[in-house]
Amino acid sequence: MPTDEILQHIPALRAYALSLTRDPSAADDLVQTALVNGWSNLSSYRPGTNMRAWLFTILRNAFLSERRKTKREVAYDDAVHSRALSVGPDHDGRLALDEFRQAFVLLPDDQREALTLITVVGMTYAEAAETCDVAIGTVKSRVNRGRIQMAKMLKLDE
Amino acid sequence: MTHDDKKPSAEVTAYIDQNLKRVFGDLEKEPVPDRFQVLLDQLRAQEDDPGKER
Repeated sequence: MPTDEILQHIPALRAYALSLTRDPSAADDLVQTALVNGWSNLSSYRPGTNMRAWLFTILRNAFLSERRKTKREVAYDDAVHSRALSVGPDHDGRLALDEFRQAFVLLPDDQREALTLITVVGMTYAEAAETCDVAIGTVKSRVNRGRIQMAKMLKLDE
Repeated sequence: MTHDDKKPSAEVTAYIDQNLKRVFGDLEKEPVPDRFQVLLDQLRAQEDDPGKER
């Protein structure tokens, strides 16, 4: 099992999981599930191909499967909202960053996901499209709409 | 059916992307939590000894 290579992808996996779950502890649980699923399905990984995309797809499928099982979206209550995306120590300009975080978690799921894959994880549009199982144009459209929506929520001047 | 072809300005794009990286940046910089190393070690050990129970 290529554990060293898998280990390298964990920070990005955690970021992606966080963008999906909007909750840090649920995110790490999701990464755990994905790693276990990945190990069970190791035969589906072809050595030399894009391991990151393979891992991200497994994590995404685990997230969707969990959500189907619970048959509900996480009710986005105040408790979740306040701890959403709370990572790292406080920095200067904390208020502005909190406002940014709060806007981000309110984005539609597909826009939030696309923005994370492209901007945070640094995937190409092709890789993100493969992960999300949509056309490249769809990813581009979601990223654009996500940025526009963020600008609206944050009341940035266009 | 029209696709939303509107694009945000370069300034907006830069602002959003920069702050997104800040929001997530700490996560990428912090060391990988022990639980994942422990899990990978366990999975690798199982691989070597498939008779073992989880």
